[in-house]
Amino acid sequence: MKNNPDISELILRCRKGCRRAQYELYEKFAPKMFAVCLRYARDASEAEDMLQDGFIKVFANLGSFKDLGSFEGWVRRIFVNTALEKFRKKNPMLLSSELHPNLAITRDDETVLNRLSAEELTRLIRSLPDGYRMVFNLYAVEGYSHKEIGEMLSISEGTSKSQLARARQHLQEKIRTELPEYLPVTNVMQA
Amino acid sequence: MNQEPLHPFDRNARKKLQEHEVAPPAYVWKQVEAGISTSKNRRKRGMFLWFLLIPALGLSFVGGWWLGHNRGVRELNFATEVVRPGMNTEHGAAVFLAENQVQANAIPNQNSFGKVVVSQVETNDVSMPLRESRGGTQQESTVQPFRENERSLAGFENKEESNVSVNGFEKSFQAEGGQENLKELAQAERKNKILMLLSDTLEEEETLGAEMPDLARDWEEINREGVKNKKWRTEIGAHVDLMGSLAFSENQSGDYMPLFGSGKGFHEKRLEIWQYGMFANFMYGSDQQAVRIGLRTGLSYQHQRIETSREGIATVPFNMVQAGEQYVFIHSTAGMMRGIWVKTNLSSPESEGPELSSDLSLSDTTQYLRQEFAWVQIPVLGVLSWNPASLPVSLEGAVGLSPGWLVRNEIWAYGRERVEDVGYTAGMERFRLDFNLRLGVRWEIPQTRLGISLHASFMQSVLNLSMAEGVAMRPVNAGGGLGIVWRLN
Repeated sequence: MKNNPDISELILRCRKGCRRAQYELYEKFAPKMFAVCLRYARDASEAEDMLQDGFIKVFANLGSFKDLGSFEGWVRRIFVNTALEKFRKKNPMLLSSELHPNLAITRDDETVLNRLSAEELTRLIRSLPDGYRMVFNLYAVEGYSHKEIGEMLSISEGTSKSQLARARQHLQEKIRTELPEYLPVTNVMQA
Repeated sequence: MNQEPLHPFDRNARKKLQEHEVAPPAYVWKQVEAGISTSKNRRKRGMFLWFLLIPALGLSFVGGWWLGHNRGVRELNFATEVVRPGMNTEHGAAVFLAENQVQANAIPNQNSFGKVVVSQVETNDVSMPLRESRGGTQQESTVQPFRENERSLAGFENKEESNVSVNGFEKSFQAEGGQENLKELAQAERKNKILMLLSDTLEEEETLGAEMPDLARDWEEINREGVKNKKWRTEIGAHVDLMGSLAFSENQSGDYMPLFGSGKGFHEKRLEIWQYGMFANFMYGSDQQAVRIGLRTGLSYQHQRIETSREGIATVPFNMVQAGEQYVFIHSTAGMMRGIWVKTNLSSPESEGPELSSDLSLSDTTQYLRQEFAWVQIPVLGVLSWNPASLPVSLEGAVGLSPGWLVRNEIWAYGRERVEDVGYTAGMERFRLDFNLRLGVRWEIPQTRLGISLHASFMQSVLNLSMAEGVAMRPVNAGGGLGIVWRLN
């Protein structure tokens, strides 16, 4: 994918150390990348740290970017890597919550998801346990395969799949308990 | 990237989130701006330190060489100084004397390292050739007559009683049976002096003292068994090496090191911290091979048993190089390295694959926090050092094997809804056997115990056996660098 000539020009100026250009680049990508960080972080403060670290890396490594692929994709990968590093560094004692085994995702839940705003969905994802959150973000939003996720997190493909399924179930449960107003009336009655 | 059809739930989530934007707080840019400046300065400072270090090492080498050269001139002034009680002599000439049964006095000298050694002998037999070894060739030369003793002996010819002074010791001789007998006594006394000289380098490292040492060692016995000198040498050192490494996989196991198993190209900056030093390196690789290059700094400690014999295999530290003989010594060394490797927090933005780490693993039922990998490696090296008589340096070669074990330490927590059990597991992860080869040149600054070494090293992994995957990556390392060594004794 060829980048916009404006972006290529901006990158060139950034490489020369132009602070103004760096700010423009930041302005252009910060909102999207902050949304990425918010999904991976546990809270807003951690997301701000990720955003800061990620942009410092972007500027430090601009010289190595080859203008062959999508610049936004390259930047996004740096932010995902930054999130993975933070995740590993914290070394959390992850606990997988036992979910109701028969809780399957229904057509109603998909409809509910459509009604949710991106902010609400981000908040729900952030409330997921660390492992679920990472796998869900990497698979569902970033589009990595289970094999790739397994390599990233040093887990097996099977574990990645089961973590994803549990993440979905967890989200569904959250929607039911925290946002019942989005559920169809009949469903609430049944529940 | 994932090619499978997405679950409707995931598809909806992606649609909603992929292009989602949230404006960050304004102060984040200020922090980013500060971060960019700091990282630039840090890079500059790092480069500056390296640029400072290299000329500093160069200067110390040149300075030391210059000092040594000038001291070499001054040596000539000390050439006529005789051995005095308390002087620390070395055995070089003494060995020669013992070998040739030359009854002669030995003149001490200061070698290029500032140590008093016997590098010149004088004998009263002017026709006696003295064999010298210079630069590996045998030369015949005629030495100066033994002036002091010649005068003393001349005195015997006319006197019934005389005081003979040899090597700072005085002895009265009574003339019993004429001048010839006196001469014999004087010769015997000289033999004693040589014995004393030899004893100076014996096990107890006796120096010539005011009291006559116990001369129980018979001249013949010494002649038969040779002069033995055994001592411990201890030294500490610091070095900077430029190291390159190539690792290749035989079974493409992803578990040997997850970095190699990504199936994608990668590069990363890595800082390994070991108990004996640090290795900062860049690594480039794919799933089958990896290349890395970096600077390694470290500390070393060696405790060696040095043994000398007159048969030509002499274990002489680096302070004997001007004693007129070549020295070769062989010893083995063993040590233990244990370290934890730690990666820096740097990403690999060029990489197609993600940066990977093995510090965390997840499973459905048991959650692990993998805390540490520790290497325990025991290098066993045979070392051969050679001091050519004509050069103020010693050449050193070492060859050996280093078995090592990668030990896994895990602190783990088990549970589902809550932590049910916490524990610690340690186990052997991998066994590795490396072949090591090291070549070096070492020069000691005169009048000091400080040495400078230039060395090259090569390491080939002979075996790298993963407990889980069988044979894994087998790296080859090669490098070279500069070091400084401080001899403690």
